[in-house]
Amino acid sequence: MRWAATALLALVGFAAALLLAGCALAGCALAGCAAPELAPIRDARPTQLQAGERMLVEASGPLFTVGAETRVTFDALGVTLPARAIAADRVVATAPSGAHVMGPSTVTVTQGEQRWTSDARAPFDVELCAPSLHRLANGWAARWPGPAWLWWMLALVAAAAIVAAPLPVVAGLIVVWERKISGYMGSRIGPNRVGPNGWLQWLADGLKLLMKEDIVPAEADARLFRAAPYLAFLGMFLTFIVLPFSRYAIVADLDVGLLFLLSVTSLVVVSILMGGWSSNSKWSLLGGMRSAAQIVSYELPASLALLTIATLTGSLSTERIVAAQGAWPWQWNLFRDPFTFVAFFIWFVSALAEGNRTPFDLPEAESELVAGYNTEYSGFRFSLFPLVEWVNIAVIGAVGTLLFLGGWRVPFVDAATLEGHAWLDAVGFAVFVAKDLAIVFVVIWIRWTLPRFRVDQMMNLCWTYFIPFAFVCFVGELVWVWLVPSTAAKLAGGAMFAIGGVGLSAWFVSRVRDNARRYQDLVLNDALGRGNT
Amino acid sequence: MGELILANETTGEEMVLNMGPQHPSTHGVIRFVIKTDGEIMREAVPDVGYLHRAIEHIAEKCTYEGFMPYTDRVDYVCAMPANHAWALAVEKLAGLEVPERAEYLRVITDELNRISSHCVALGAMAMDIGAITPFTYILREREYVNELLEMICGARLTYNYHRIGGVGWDMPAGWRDKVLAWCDHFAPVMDEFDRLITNNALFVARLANLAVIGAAEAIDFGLVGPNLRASGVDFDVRRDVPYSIYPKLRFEVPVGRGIVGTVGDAWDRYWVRAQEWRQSVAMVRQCLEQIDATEPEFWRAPKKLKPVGDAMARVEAARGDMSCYVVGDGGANAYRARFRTGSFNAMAIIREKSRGLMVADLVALIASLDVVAPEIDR
Repeated sequence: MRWAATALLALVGFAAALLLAGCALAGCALAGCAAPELAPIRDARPTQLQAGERMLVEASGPLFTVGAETRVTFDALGVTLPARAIAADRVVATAPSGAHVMGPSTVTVTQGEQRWTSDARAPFDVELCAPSLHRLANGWAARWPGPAWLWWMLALVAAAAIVAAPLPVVAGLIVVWERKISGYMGSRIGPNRVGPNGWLQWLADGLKLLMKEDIVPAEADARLFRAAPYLAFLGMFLTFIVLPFSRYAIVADLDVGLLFLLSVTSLVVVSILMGGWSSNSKWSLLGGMRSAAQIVSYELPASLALLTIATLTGSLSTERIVAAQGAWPWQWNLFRDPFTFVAFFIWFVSALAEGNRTPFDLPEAESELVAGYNTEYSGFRFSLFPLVEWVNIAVIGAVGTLLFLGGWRVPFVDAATLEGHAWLDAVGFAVFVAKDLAIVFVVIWIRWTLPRFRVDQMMNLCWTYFIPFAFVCFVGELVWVWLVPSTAAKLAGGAMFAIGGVGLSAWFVSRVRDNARRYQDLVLNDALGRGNT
Repeated sequence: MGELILANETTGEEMVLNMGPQHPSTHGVIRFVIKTDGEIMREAVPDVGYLHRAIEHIAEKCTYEGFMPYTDRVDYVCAMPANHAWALAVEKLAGLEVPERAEYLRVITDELNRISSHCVALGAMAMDIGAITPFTYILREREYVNELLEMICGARLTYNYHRIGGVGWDMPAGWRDKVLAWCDHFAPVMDEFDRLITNNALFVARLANLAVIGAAEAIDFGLVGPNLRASGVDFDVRRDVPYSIYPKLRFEVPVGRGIVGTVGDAWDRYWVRAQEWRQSVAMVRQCLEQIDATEPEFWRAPKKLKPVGDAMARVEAARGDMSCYVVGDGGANAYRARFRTGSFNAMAIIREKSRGLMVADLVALIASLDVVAPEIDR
């Protein structure tokens, strides 16, 4: 019970910390709603719109009269926007304030008596997108006097600060949480001295590291050695740009969101290799090499698993992937069809490998490589590596949540309900964090249960099992999306949930109960007359 | 070591890696010079001598009784059998009788200490493979054993419990019940440990068929104890060269069977130790049943201890056959003393077995042989 209480407390405390940051984000984002139009015209379609943002309607040939009064109507939604023809084949519509999310719709452009309607078989998938931090920056830049680029830069720095500030807190709290979990799992107590029940241990550890001497080994390549930790931090930090913690708490909804995630996390491997190699220590070099081989290999199955989801959703944008899922578990991508179900596990194990977590913690295997790539580091530079590692766990959880577990979606709340109800967005944020933490817990749990792979076994697992299976998932998903009609797909989702979700959970619970029954009382204090241990 | 590196002159593809004396998984201060080609080891050469304390020389400088605390330091993970070996050797040399109760107490403490030593060995092995939680589980059990031993002799690690002619103290009141309670408690713990780590697929994949030592090879290299038995050689000093009251006890000698791989692989060495836990618990139970029938005398202290001649005693320590050879010249001190320990020989085979393994496997190999630094060098 004590364990459960502490876990709950950890969850609540952690969620509260994140919530604060999230509210700040959401508040800023909401403030941005009133910003005047300055967003660049989106040239792609289907496109995303926000209030005050403009949308480009492209015609296949010269149809429109430039200068004539124009309106654009989204037929299925009954929304008409004022528009302006800027060329014979282009019309720009401006979204009114307070606009809502829209579903797929045909678009009709009206000029006087003339009407042109888009193809009904391929309607625009139109969504009026929520404001996000980079749009907020645009708004500030336009509002204030002076060179726009300066304000824009400042606004971006402010946005970066908002995102970066919680990172050490997130990493620190996860570290404490992990140490507590490991303590309970190993029948120990864990940190309990600094702060309430040990929850400020990360501050003490961080301060200690900051006060330590920053040593650069004499024979090390000092420049690369110094730069490596920052690169790792940068790679992990950039992922936060595309993570949609809630509908509004997203820095930028990039069209290439998933691609962006994959590419910036690859910076971490560069940094690890850099740190390991430049240290001029053989242990570090071995760690760096292992890490490079491992992350590069496991990026393949991880990317293929992400592609499976991208195929299903038809978009790489993280926000759209969340929007395409429902709030209930049977509407999550995880249970969408057999291929996504398998893809989830492939992705999860690959993510463990990319994050250097047990059973794939070979780059820093302390019983083999002393400390691996960060053997020679000390002080602040050293502290960045664990920081990145633990933030990475949160990122793994966040990516899993947004791709497979429905993201921030709250039951009975759709994006239209969200408009103007910021507190609902906070609920969405809490839902996201809870799912994130659930995955983080599993990652920690695995670490303190399993032994470590050997490097050849790890590679074997990747290249002979994961990559083929991931390919099967990807191709299978393509076929599924192509062939299976939507009603059947919905039924399949329900069936997957019943078999995969409920069935596996029931099996798991029965196993846990069995273990608990067998080994319920293995602590022997009374018999030996010992005190509390 | 310098000439060693020169002798193994490296090509451009290979590098020489210095593992230890300070390294997380060399179990104390052991040093290996490893020649690797990337992750694959060409050879690992053990460098013995970092913990040499001239214990055998100290035996010449203090009295027979006075040397007993030093024997604790021969193998600090499993000190009781070292006590026992010294006591046995000197008793043989001086022709002393030991009260039966003392024999029982010696065996009980030996076996408890063997259990705690195997706890360290198996837990550390799991940790070297990367699983940290089993280590804390099993160290908890070792703590209980330490407490039991502390109750009987006041020390938790270096016991100095056995005496020449007996043992230092009788069982304290209520001790037997506590030991029995712990034995009852330990049975499910062993099963839990098996479920947690012994049969863990990853653990088995790491250890099965790793560094297989055949029976003939094990004998050639002078392996003893669990390492020898894991290779399929059915030899146990307690049964085959009986001493103390072991002939009165019923126990089996677990021998490696190659359940998941080949006989003599690293997993077998692990498994044999896990089985010895069970045998040791059974022995402790039997001793506690039989000890009531003995006289209360537990120490027949020798009046004058100035023996002449030489004697050799063999005991089965946690790391196998621990022999103690002592020569007396009629003085109060031994003229010569010598301990033969298992870890020293186990170190020798590491070089042979390391060829072609991965760096990570070296750690598993060292752990599976259960070498303990002070026992190598003394």
